[in-house]
Amino acid sequence: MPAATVGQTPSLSTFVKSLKTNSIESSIELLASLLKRRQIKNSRQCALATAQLLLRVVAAERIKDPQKLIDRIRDVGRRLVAAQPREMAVGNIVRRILGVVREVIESQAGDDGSGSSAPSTPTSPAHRQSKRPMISHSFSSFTPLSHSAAMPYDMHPRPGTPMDSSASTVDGMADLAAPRRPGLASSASYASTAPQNASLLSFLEHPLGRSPAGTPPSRNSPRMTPVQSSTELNKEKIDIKAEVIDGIKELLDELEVVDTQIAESALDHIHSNETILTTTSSQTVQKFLSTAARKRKFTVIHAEAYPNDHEITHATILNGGKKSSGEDEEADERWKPLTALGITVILIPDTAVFALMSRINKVILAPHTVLANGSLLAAAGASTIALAAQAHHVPVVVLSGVYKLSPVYPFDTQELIEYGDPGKVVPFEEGDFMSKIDVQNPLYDFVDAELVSLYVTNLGGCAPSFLYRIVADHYRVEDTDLSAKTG
Amino acid sequence: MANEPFNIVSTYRRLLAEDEDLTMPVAAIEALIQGLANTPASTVSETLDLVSKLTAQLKQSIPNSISLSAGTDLFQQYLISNLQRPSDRGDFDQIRAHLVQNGKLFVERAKAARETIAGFGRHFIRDGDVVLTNGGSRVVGSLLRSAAESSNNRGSIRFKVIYVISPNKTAMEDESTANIAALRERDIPVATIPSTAVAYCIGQVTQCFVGAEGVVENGGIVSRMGTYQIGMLAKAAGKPFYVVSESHKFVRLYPINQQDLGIEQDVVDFRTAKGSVKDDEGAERSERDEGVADMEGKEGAGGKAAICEPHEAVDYTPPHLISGIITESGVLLPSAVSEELIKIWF
Amino acid sequence: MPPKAKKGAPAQKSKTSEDEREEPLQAVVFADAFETTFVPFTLERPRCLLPLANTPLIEYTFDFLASAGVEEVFLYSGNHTDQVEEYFKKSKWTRPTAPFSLEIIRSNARSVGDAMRDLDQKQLITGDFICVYGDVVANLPMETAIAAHRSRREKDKKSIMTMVLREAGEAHRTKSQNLCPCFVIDPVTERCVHYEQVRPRQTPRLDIAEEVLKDHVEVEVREDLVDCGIDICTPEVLAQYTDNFDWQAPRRGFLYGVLKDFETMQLSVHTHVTSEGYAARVKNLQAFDAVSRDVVARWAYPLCPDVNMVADQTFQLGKGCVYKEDGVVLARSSVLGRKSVLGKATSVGEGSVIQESVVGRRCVIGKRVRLDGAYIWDDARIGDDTIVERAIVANEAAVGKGCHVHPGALISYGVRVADGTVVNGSSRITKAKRRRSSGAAQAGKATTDPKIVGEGGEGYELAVDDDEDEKLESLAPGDIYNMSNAALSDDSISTLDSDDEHESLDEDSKRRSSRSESFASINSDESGDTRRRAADFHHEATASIVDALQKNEDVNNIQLELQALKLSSNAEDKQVRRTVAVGLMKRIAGLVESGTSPKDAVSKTLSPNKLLIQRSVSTNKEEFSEQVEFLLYMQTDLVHRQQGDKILLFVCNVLAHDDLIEAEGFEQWWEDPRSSATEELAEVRKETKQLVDVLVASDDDDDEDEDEDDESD
Repeated sequence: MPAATVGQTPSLSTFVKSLKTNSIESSIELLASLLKRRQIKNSRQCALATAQLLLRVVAAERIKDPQKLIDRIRDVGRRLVAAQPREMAVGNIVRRILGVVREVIESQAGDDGSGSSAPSTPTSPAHRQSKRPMISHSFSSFTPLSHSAAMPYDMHPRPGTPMDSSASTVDGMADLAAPRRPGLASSASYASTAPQNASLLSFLEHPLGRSPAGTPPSRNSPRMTPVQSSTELNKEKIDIKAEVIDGIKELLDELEVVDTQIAESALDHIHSNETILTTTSSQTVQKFLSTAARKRKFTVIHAEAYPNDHEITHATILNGGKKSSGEDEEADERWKPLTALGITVILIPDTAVFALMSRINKVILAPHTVLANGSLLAAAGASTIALAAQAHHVPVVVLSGVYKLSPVYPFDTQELIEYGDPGKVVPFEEGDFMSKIDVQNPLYDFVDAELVSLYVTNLGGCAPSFLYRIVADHYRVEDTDLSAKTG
Repeated sequence: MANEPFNIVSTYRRLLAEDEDLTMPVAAIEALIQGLANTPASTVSETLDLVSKLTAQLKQSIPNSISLSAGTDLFQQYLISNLQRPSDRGDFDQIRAHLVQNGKLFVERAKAARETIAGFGRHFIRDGDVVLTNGGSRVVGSLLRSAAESSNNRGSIRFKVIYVISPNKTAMEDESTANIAALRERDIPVATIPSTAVAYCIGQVTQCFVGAEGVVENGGIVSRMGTYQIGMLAKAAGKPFYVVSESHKFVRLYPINQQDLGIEQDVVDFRTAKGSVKDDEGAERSERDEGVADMEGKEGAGGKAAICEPHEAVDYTPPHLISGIITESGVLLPSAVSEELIKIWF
Repeated sequence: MPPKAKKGAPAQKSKTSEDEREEPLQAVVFADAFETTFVPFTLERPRCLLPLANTPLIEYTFDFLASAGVEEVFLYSGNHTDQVEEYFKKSKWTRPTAPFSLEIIRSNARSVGDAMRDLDQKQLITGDFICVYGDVVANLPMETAIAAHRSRREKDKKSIMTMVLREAGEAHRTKSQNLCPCFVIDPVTERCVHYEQVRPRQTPRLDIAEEVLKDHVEVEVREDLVDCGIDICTPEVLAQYTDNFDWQAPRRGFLYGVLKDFETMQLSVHTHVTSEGYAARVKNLQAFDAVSRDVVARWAYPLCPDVNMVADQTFQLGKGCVYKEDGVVLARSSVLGRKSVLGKATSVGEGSVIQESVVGRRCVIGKRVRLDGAYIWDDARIGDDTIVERAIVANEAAVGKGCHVHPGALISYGVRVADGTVVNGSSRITKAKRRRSSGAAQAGKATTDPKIVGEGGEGYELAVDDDEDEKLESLAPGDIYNMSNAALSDDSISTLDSDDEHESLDEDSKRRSSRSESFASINSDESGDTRRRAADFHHEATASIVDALQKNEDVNNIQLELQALKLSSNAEDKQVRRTVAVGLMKRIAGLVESGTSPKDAVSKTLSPNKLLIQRSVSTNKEEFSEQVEFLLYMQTDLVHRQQGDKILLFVCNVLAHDDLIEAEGFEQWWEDPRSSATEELAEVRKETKQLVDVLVASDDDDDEDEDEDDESD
């Protein structure tokens, strides 16, 4: 039974260990196969593993041309995502890191490189500080519309040509566009015109960069003459790597502290004598609740999440978050179970959720992935809970680190749901059962955005309809479509 | 500079007539550019003044100015943001020259945007889907078409289409018939239903795609009459309701309700035995026409046109009915629209 | 929760991982299980490359090994080694990024035992190693097993092997239906104290040595375990194989032997019974069917098609366990039912219905086709209006319009079935000519048989010799399950794989029933168990003899091998006799079929091999029963051969000539009621009458019966 999670703990940590010894290529292969074999699973572990790996990749890369670096990361990312498309955290991290790289490149091109690379203490306000400059500095470049100029070029090759070719063109365009924006901004009297140029207007503005005589598509903007750019790159070459690595380190820190950050707002959401319903053994939720429990007394009703998660859930309730942590073994702080903090915990089967919902003040869920439109994937059973909550008008609060937030739009929710081992439902021993009856065991549920009242991320709370903004702040449009499979 | 041969309205109409792929906003921009071309404006303020004048004319004389106003606003704003830069004085002529020369280029871009959107659409349509759409939105048409074509490289996508046809034969009608023909060409089964049958068949629909004349600030859309009810039915049936629209159709407009669109369309026409109840409105409209007339030359035609024909009547679909807005740069939530607009204006 | 390959309490885990540091974990994979339950497919492709749910079997095995943290793999491939090597050149396992180093060992080993001995000579194995077949589909957690094994070994050098077994219920579709291994285990030490193969509700008793029962306070008798041949061995195991050259199969040979002389050697074998994860061996077509369905229904999760084990796969899971690769083209009106797999660029015509079927890549499924539980491999074409039920259509095969392929049919590579043909369940159609000696297929085109494939078709019904005829008729027609037996052919018989034993055993018992009258008197006394062992022995021995004869091996070797077999399955002389008789007759008949005249055939076969007969038939003057028996055996065997009577005549002649059998022997035989029990028997011996008469009459006029021979030629 305990094996259920202990199984994963080694696989992540052994991977991290092996990173030091193995060659890059084989570590990539290894991670891919670990993902395929689900020996590394759950968003957090995937995120950690991916970040670690990419850190290694970047460190090893001899960066002559930052574009090369971007392509390289993209390529690695594509392979990992292809290995396990349903673990969106992988893709998210890759995109985040790509974002960091672009950030660095642009800050190199534009004069203010300081903002993005400023080392930051991993507490959330500091995070915001460290983010602010880069957001404002090329604010609009994050917003979905920003690259409408670049998009057509990106999209044209799409129907037909393989992804990577078009991908590279995206980058190409992005880099053409990227340095220009700050350039204009600096020349502009007030900075806010910079975003304008890159926004809706772009489809008018774009050719402005070109000399009136020139036929638009062919020629570069005067600001982007190869000579100059190359000189730029030369001076980048030295520190760009360092900064990217800093960026990734920052990301890793974020992953470490994300729960703490989320837990900080616990007291705003959990009040005395409330009755909270939660499910699964999410570390985030545990931390959240226990933080609240230090100050307040409330009741937790815990749905056991049979059949995939109940063992760990029981373990968690019994003796604290450690087992469920899924952290690699260095960080094995085992915090006390809620009961030890004087909280009444009631374990119920998933089937009792609706019956009890009328007595519940708040539902707290931890998602597997949060999608761009505010909907989410969570452990099977979440949908039931959310619907029940809606029926009783109980607020549903979702605790999600930003790393779970995916820019992917749920084109087909069916595709995102993974089906697990039916042996969990009916033991493999039931020979004639399995030969006569189809058993299915979906691991995740799709919960629609309108069932969620509030998201609490490590950047604070926000409404589902506002998530797109956070997405926009963290991911670059040109990276959204890492590989054809992400949809 | 008002009294000169160039007639913005006729240009606008001509442009639309020449290229049926042209959207109204782009046509408007084209018209304005040509206006600029025919006018020896030398200073910034002069230019801006001219443009606003032309815009005013255009808006006045075209009954449903929502869509085109998107284009004109965009253009004006663009000029302002570029010309009013102290540093860019020198650029003025350059910009002007550039605009005048590259008029076509914008059109190309606009069309490119459409292709892009079509590319996105592929992801929306899955095997076994039944898509409900209405009227002859070009974007929706190309989206469905690309979905039909993509079936060969992404494996077969077997989807059906239900087209809502407005009863009265009109220009729009031809549009949709063209689309329908194109789809059937690519052996996609298409059913055509009257708008009265939407509720009847919404059950078997998996998602709805509609075009828009304008996407307004709160994320709602202004679109052909009947879109609103499709939206409501889709919501009621719990089917996703997607708006397909290029981002240059975003309009700075915040309608409260259907009557608040700022255009005259006598859809609801109360009559008694004595005839239509609202003669007074008719009267004030006619004098507004005179206003137009003395500003412009013979704008009688425009004046008469100033009431929407029933077939090009529009309604307003509030954002809460919309699952997503598919633009050339991705799928936006309605709530994201205002931000985009704000970025232009402030 | 997916089954975890890395598992066990952290303590153990870290410990094992350290162990792995000091000595790399090795694995031996037998790509060829030395059996032909997959004929006709294995005539042209190595078994380990047969596609299970569109992924070659070996991929599953290697994935399993990789997840178990193996670092060196030795792959023993029997036939088609070139194809295997070719495959791995391209595969990811030979890249520098592969999780383990792979070495493909060419060998002419004809059994696991041989391979093991060879391995021992090569000195490749340094430490503990995992030993699996190349057809294992498993995601069992090995960590704990290995840890346990190592701790045991540290305590006691004598514990040489740990068998990893999966708990499964009474009846399980991955289990062999008619025979299942029965382990007797000491629950305290997990030691396996007794092993037997029993057939459920038929084997009356297990004969467990009483000292075993003395030593162990408590023993569990477990019949519910799936044994998929995953063993963790110490190098000592190899040594044992070398010492006992007659051990062939890891279970009935090795395990049986080790357990038998536990008292003397004190070597112990342990078991590790797990209730986690999935484990099965694709050992025959029945298992192939079962495992395919498990994989598709995700019982083997995460080893499902949408894991895309092979690099270029792009499977995606749809509703109801439907897996589609990119570029699958489905006609609008076609229906894709539950639990189906469609490979890349496969097209399905209008109105076709596919369910519970696996379709490979680039297949063309016509209009209004019905595939129900069918296995269609790459590049196959199915014509319009055709129905394919639970059957296999291999690569590049083409089934015409309006055909009906019944459950159980096997249509091998490149076969063309003409329009409107009905392929019945028991037929195994192939184009490859099979050579008797080994499974290796010669490219030589066999003559097409229109009766089977219809006019304009290509391919012929795989030749079956009489043993198989009996099997086939003794089997309920159709149903892929039974093909496992049906597909057994003589080139498999020379091997001693445990599973092969199942099959041979089944059919053998069936043969008994079918011929009970002829053997009633001889075997009446045998208990079910000994009879079974006898059956195995007989089958194996006969096979090896025939084989040896074909190769014209030196008679002494043959004798030696026979002796070895006899010892290993402590058979009685009687059986040896029967074996020799049948073996020789079979060989002769074979020659006769291939055109040589009975006389030459006989002389060619017997003259060099007199020794065999001498050894098996004592020629002392007063005791003739053995001789009689020998003759009887020959006679009964010849009943089914063509020109049996002639052969018998010449054989007798030769025997008489060389005084291998005394005249009295012949006489008694002739008198013996058994020799004329049925009219076939009488029929067969008619020709010989004269000869016998003469012999009995006088021993001196040999020349005379020479003449008779000439006349009778």
